[in-house]
Amino acid sequence: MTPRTYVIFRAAAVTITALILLLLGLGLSGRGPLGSFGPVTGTTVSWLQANTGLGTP
Amino acid sequence: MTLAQRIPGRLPVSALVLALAGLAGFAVPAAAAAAASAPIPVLLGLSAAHYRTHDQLVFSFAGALPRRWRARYISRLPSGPQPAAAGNARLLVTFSRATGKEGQGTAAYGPIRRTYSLPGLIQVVTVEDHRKLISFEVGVARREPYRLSPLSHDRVALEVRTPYQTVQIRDFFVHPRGVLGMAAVQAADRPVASKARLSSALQRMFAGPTMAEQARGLRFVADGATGTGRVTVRHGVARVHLAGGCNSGGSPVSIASEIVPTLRQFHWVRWVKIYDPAGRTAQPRGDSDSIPACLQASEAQIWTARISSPAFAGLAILIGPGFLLGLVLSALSLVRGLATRTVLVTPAAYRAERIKAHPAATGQFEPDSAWPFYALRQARTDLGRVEAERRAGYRRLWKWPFPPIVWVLLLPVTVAVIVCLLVAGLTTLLLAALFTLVTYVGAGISAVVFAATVVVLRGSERLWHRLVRAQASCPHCYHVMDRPAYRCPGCSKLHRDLRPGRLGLVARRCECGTLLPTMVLRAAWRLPAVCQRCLRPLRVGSGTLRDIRIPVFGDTSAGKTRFLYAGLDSLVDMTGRAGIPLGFPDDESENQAKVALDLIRSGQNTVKTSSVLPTALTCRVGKGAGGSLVHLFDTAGELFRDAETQDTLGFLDHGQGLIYVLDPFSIGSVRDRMAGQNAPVFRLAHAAAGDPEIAYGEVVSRLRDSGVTADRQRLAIVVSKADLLGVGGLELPEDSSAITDWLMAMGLHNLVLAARRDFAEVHFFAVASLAAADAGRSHDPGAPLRWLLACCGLRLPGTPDAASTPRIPGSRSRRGSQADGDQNTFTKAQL
Repeated sequence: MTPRTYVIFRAAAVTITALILLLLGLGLSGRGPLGSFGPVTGTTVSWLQANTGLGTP
Repeated sequence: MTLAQRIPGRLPVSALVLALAGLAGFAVPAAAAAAASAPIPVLLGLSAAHYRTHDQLVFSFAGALPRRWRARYISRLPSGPQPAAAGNARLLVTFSRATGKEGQGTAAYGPIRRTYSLPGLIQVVTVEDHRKLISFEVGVARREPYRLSPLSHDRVALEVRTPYQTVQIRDFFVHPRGVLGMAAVQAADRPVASKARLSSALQRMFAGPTMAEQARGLRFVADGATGTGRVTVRHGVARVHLAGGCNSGGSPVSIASEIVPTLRQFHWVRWVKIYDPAGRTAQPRGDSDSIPACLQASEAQIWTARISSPAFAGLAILIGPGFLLGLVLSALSLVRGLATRTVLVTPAAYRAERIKAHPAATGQFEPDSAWPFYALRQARTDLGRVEAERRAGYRRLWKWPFPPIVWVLLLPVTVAVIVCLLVAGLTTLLLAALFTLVTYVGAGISAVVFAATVVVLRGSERLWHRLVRAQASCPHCYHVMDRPAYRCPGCSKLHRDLRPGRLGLVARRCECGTLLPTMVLRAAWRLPAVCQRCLRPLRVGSGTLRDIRIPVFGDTSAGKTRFLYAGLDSLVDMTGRAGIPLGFPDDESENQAKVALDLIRSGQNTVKTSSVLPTALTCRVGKGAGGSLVHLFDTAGELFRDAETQDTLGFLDHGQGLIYVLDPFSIGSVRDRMAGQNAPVFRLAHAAAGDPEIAYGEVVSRLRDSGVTADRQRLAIVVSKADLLGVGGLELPEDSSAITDWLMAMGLHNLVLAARRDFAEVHFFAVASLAAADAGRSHDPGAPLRWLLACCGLRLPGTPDAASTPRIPGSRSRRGSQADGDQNTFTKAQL
């Protein structure tokens, strides 16, 4: 038997982790509160495009 | 020999003047020769830095400063069309009588062309280092005021103002061995003016990498181009016209590899078309990138690139599946570690841990058995479980189904799988670290809030106990405690410390799963309370209500039991008339009271009290949290005489006030008066056989031996059987002082004086232990109880005046002591 508070704490920890990942993902695409990470994606994409041709139309 | 000694003293003056003139004529060419032979300052280095308002370029010389220096803006070099420094304006800085060459003719100050990543200063190029004249061309972003001045004895600084805002952009350069030994393009930051960012980016790109970037391996591949001509952007298509030349030599890495990403960083550029100096490009129209033929890679070069680039692109592509695999593995480890394969720290295990960590000392109880607060214990176990699942899952990924030879034969696939698994491992590691961080931060915050709330809740409960004077007293073993123990309604397991703590804040979950309230204030009305010592049931509400304990003592047949029953009857009658709720907390108390009230109201004689230890007769006065539990203890008189059994009379030690029942028929002078015609009354009274002073003295001695400070307690001396005395012709007074006088007159002055000496406050009562309906208002048996209750803070109607200013035990004032002294003095004088 698992106490209900344990389930709540675990669910909260997993939810917060997932939320942080989501915010990070949005931030890397230049949106959301972590949108300042957007240029990192831009740099990586241009680096990949410049060196591998990946994603080049 | 000096010059003066060589000149004869009698030479004519004219000869002397001629000689001096001749010397002067020799001296001027000598000074010039000395200056010409002095070492020429050598330029050792150039350094540049940005300050808040300007960029500074410092020229450092060895030995001394050059003779002259000069700087000016130029439009073109005076000596001819040599390669100019990159920049929108150029300064020519010249040092005369200085050189930059070392002994072997190499430049002592480093490269002759150097680029800076500064807002104003772009590039410095050596123009001339010849015939003791050295000059530099300094390319700057804008034509701004400058100053060339000495900085110290061997340094000259050129300061160019930078009064404009800048933004960071990226220029791309080629690293010949950037990734896996193959040529790759890497970015370098440049601060440029906010306006004209696109052309500035290209200009900085043509200036090339800085010395530090060159040390990192970056190179500018120009392919013969010396700059760009017209640059236009229209409908997302940037068109760049190369100037100078254009020849990539068939290399797959060309100037286009640098221009395209440099321009694509601007969101308004989607396509880049590069034109050769003749204005040609492969696809001048349409939405696509385009390069001229001079930059096209040769077939051989393309083949080389085709071999290496797909491998590199493949590696890049494998990162995606590896990341996804890591994500799935992390999710699985979370589900397994937190839901399907959890390890729970059970109450028994946690209790064992706590006992091992903090063994219970003498007088302490071992911790209770309940589920601990998640953040304090289970969180750690959960993290360990998730990590174990993650490792086990990742380890399983490396167990491949086929024999190793198969994977050796499928080498590209093997490499791909390994890369994928490594990326997956890194992903799971990062996600596990994130989850651990979140859990620890959450647990830490919870623990801090939890601890603060525990302090508040415990403090509020302690305050409540102090204000209300709430305690719990066992009616069976007479143990008095601050907090009772409680039995779980589900499994009857004992919970000795139900305060907020590690096992729960506002509620705790018993091992059996039953949810129990944590604070005594809440548990008192919901859970069965038991004594911490004998584990027998306590009265309902124990620990939250004011707890008043009143022991009754006296000699055998002194009328204690009858007085107690009659007093209770009086209380019931009085509270009923006053509308004060009076009830009994449980069935046991109610049955006891019913027997007592029936007996006293029916006028029957009480039977002799059993010699076993008494159970307190408890009633509850008042309702809700403001009520009080009143415990009345009655025991057989023989127990007070027996030294061994006296030790078991613990209720005497914890009473807030005591009642001593004195049988007047045991007083010698009364007995004498009752002889003769009042003999039937005397027989009816069943007089106590012992001496009242002896019975009193034994109890006081016992209190003193037990360490009880009697001088902090109150004593009600009750002269019982007042009704029978009246029948025998002896009327007992009602007033306390009058009763005192009467007792002294009857020869009990020793008892009176001893009582006043031993106790903090003494009040005398005369009672007729009759039912309230029969007794009327005189000799009310409830009066002693009401007086003691009032002293304990429970004021009821009809309380004797003496208790109107009850003294708090332990705070004997000077006035009180004086009053007692006066009273005693008065008593002694009267005697």
